[in-house]
Amino acid sequence: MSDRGPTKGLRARAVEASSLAIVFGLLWLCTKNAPAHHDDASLVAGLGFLLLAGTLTSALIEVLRVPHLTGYLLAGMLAGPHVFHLIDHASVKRLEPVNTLTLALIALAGGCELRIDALRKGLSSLLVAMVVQCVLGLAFVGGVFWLAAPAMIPFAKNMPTLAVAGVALLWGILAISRSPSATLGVLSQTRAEGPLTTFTLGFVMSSDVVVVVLLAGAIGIARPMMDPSAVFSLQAFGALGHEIVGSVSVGTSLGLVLAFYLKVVGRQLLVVLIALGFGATEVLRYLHFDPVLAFLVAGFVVQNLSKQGDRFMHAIEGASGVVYVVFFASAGAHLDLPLLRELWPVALLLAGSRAFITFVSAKLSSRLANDPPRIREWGWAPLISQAGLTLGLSAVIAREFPAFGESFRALAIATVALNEVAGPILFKLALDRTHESRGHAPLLAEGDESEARST
Amino acid sequence: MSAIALLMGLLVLSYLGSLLVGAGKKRGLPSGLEFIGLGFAVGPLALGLVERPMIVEFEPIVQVALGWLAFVVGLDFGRVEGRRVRRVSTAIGIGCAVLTGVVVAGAVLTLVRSSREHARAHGIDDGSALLLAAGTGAVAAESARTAIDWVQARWGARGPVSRLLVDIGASDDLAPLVAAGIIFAIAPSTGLAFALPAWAWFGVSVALGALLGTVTAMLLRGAEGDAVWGALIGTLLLGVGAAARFGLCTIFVTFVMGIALAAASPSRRALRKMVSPTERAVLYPLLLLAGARLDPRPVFESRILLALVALVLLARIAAKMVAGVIVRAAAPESRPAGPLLGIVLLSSGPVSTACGLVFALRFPGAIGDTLLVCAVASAILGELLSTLSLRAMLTEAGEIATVASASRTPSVPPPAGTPVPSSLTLLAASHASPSDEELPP
Repeated sequence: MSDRGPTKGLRARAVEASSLAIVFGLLWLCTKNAPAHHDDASLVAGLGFLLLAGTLTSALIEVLRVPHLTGYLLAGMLAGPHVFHLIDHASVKRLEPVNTLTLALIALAGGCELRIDALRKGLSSLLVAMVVQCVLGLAFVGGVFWLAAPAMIPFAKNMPTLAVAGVALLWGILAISRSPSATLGVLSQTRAEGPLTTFTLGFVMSSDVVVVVLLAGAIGIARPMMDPSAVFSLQAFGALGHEIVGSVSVGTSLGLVLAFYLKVVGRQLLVVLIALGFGATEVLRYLHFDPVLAFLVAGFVVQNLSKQGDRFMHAIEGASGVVYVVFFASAGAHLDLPLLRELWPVALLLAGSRAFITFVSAKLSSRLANDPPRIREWGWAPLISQAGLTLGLSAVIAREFPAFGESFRALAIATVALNEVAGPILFKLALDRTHESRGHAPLLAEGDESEARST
Repeated sequence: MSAIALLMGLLVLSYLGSLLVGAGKKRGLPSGLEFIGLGFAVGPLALGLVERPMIVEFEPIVQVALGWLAFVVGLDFGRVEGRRVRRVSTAIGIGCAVLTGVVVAGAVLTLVRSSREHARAHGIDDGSALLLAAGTGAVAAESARTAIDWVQARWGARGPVSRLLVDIGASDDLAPLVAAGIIFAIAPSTGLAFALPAWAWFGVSVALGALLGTVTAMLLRGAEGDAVWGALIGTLLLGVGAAARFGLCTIFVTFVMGIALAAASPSRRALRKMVSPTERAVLYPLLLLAGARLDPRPVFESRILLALVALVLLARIAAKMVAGVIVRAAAPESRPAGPLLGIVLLSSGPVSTACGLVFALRFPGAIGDTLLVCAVASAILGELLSTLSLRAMLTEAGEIATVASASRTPSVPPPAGTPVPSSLTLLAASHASPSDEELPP
């Protein structure tokens, strides 16, 4: 089991394959012969299995040049409640605290990756891309949803036209959300560096905030469209403003404290990160602030307002390696495959239309912003992934609109499943093709050729 | 207190524990009793800051922590600070632990059988009696190495007696862990798809540990960075979970896993160096949870159980005194220790507490609670009798330099610029341990 690239020999592969078989076999024996009745032993064994099987599966499918993330998802899917039934629903549910820690680490890492000088250079490109992607993505995908609703979307079939438009608006918001976790998961494996990486990080991390704001507005607009007695209210914006400002403030303070700790003490960072992941998250939630935003800001502060950024990033990478595997493997186990089997035509349509408009928008925004060749050619690929953030937004919508919320959420789950699998593969492909994986230096000749082709 | 607050408290303890690596051997009590006491103080029977449902919620973490500790013990088994323990010392250590365990178990079984009616009134039937006896033997068997480490760190003890005691303390961990493995094999989980005799379940435990250790060794070839931790943690979790599902002894399985990994992996030295700093970081929170879990009420409410605990302590003292005589007979270098060597062997530490806790988790109720009480009582006994006796004994044996003997040494001013060694470092130099390579196989 190794972190190295696909240069392993047959013997190493055989060892990995046999280890994977042993691990699967062991859990299978446990499941068949010792029914655990959802107890702690089942949870612990499942956690260990996901960690091992995820790592081994990702190592074995390295030959296909897909990201490790895909291997983690695959291991979880196979072991989950819908395929081999090695891990049950209850155990998957009980692994949710791991997600709390993972999201904290992802946000801290995301903030650390954002450097002010790189952001300044690419600010105009980011702004143009954000506006184009949001406007076109929302309009196009929302339009496809509205058109497909009478024929293909069960819960929208009998809705009035205006109500369908409201639901389409909400769906459009989901369509423009991205996945910080998948982005960082791929980047942590590939150690990528370069213009595409910088653009992706800046876009994905900032779109997190943009989408949350837009969702608040969309909910306010959609409500009167579905319920004539409801009125448009700005109250949601007030709460959102409190959340954003508060999260940024706390995140800034947290970042300064972390930087001080790293400078003065700088030890036992793993314990500190675990304490942040669980303890600070709990406090932030109690204060009705957004933990992800707060940690993002904290990471940004440590990187850009102190000299401890690289050290902090190194500590996060060390802690997150193990946690990412469990996070994505349990996400794979959580994938609702029967639902996907039921809704795949409409999910494929919506995912496909999203991918199409993302591609078109990326090309258009790159042209408008005069982006470098790599971003012009591959700037769309990192934006396909969707994962926990989108599911979280769909859960918010489900709570706000209980009449159709659960069905809406089910459709979101099915669509996200497709994007969760395809997105990281496309992103890694882009990083490999642009030679940004493992920090490969850009070839001068390649850059010239691409430039010549585009003019 | 919420679960998150308890988790934060445990993380603080873990943080302190990891800061105290190396130099921390002389801090606090060698058995970690202060953390057990702290746990009891915040637990449901005292301040009530940690409630019983919360303790139950943390049981998966406790199981994993116990498994990790046993794994670290197994990985380092047969070695002390990098050097291999001599076979003679290993045999003596294991023999003394077995002797103690058998004496204690026999005494307890005799007590329970002689008061059969009284025992039955408190829910102790013949099967439970055997379990109780074997369990007390397991938790009372070992002599903790932490006590001698503590004395060495505090007072710079060096010499053949302290070295022998360290070796005995390091090697006798095998006996209680194997005993725990056997006991659990006698009473596996109910509801299993097949039934096996106890010896077969014991074999399954050994096979499971050996398999996982070997798989880990294979996975670690060429692995770097967090891939190493992923392999270690993943196999440990799988081992603990699989063992628990079959009702096997998790600490025995992970102990065997550690031994198998040390045997199979060419990177064993690097692994030991990597995992040993985690021992205290895991131990302190675990001891706190053990203290919070401690429930002496069944013992105080039942005369037979109270008598049992007292008998365990007395039998342990007697057995260790006999063990001391055997050690002096078998190992000539221990003769300077004098006839009270057995008192020194009374030290009890994390392995005993871990055994007691694992029994308490597996056999909840009067039996599990009594075994945990016995483990803690042994630790208290060890602290009261063993630690200071150890210092006195080593001073008597000339392995701790006293202030008086240091001041009698005529002070000759050294040449200018020459660093002046302390008497302790001179003593250490005269009893320097041979390196691993120098030891005969």
